Amino acid sequence: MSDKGRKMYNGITNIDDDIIMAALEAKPKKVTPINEEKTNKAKKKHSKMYYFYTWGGAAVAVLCLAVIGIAVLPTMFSSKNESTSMAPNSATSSWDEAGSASDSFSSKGDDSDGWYSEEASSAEPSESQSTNDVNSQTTVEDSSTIEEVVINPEDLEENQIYVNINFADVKEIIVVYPGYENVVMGYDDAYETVTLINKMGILTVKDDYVDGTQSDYATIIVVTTDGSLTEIMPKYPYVFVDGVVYKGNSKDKGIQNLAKYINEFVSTYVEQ
Amino acid sequence: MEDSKIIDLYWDRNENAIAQTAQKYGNYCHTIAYNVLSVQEDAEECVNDTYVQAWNTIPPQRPTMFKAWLGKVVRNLALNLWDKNHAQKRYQGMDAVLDELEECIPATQTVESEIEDKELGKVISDWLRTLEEDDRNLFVRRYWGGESVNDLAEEWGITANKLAQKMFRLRNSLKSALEKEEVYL
Repeated sequence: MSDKGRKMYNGITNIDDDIIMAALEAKPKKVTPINEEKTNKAKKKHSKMYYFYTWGGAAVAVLCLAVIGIAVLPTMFSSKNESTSMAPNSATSSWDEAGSASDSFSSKGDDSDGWYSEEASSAEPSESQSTNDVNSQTTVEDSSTIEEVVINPEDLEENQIYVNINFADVKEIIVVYPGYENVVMGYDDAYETVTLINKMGILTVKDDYVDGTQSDYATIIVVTTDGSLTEIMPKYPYVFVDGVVYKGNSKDKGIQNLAKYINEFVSTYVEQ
Repeated sequence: MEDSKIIDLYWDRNENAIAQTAQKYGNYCHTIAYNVLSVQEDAEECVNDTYVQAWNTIPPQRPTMFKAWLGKVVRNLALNLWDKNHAQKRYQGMDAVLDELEECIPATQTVESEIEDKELGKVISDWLRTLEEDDRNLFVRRYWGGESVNDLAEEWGITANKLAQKMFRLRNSLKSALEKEEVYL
């Protein structure tokens, strides 16, 4: 795996918990067009069935009117000629038939409406619901917020140290590698590193100790803003991490373990 | 059993904690591990290691979202195992996932600008929150859970091709977001 792939993998692993939980528990919505109603209307206008019912119905209506015109009107005129008193009744009767023909057309029209409306009713709410869901997500508390950790140093295990570094106290971080000139981390790098350490809170380290050969190893020196390097932490004067022993200086307990993280950065830096 | 009670068991050093975890989240952990490793035996090993890590880590930790926490542990362990066995070229599935993700990374600018994983996770989380809920869930299921495109397409009711196009657009969107945040790896 390339470094980039690994970095992205690790970054995605650290997605906020609430996003992960939401994704794991959510049921996917049926994928629907953004505005189903408009889409259905458009579909209705262009569907073959629409043309069939619309133009077919119109054709039937015209045909019916033609039949009525041919069959009824001459009778009406003849009836008028024969008996004026009968004419209204005949005409009414004929138009009633025509009306029933028209009703049958209407019922087809209703069928067509029903056919489309059934499809339209199956559409799921999409746009407004999605918007609401997104809005509700934005109110979720950001779980990446650094929590304050209150720990009694006496409660720590033998191989644990508590790290609580105030970046305001750190001016620069100097890493001394045998064979190399001192490497001074810039402000930004130091800031990133200290921020990282503070997030970690408690760090577990191997409690191996240096046997007097510390000159073969790198030394981490944290220079605080008051210029002091202070004393070496009594309990853990040296920290053995990943095959390298580091010596730390700080007024903050546990600063030595900074080396574990600085090491990755600096070793890359030094190799350039 | 509720998550908080399971965590209490861990704090009490009660071995039933592992059994309860396995009962409630065994399949879930296995799925995540299998999606990364594609090998049944390795996935099972990874899940067992997850229980061990949970036992060793809780206490002092007390995860607020136990399910998500377990998932992260599984992912990390699976990646370690993947690394260990990668020489055998067994994991075709994860290769594809990682190849796709690589496209999101802007070109390298400076070596020294090493981006810490959690900071990157925060940037990705912020980007995810800007997405529609469905897209956000899809991305997480694909790239966090490692689920296959075909499975997701079936669940989402769309074709695999359409889903692949959607993922492509999402990756491009992520790439833009990373560039905007000046994340260069």
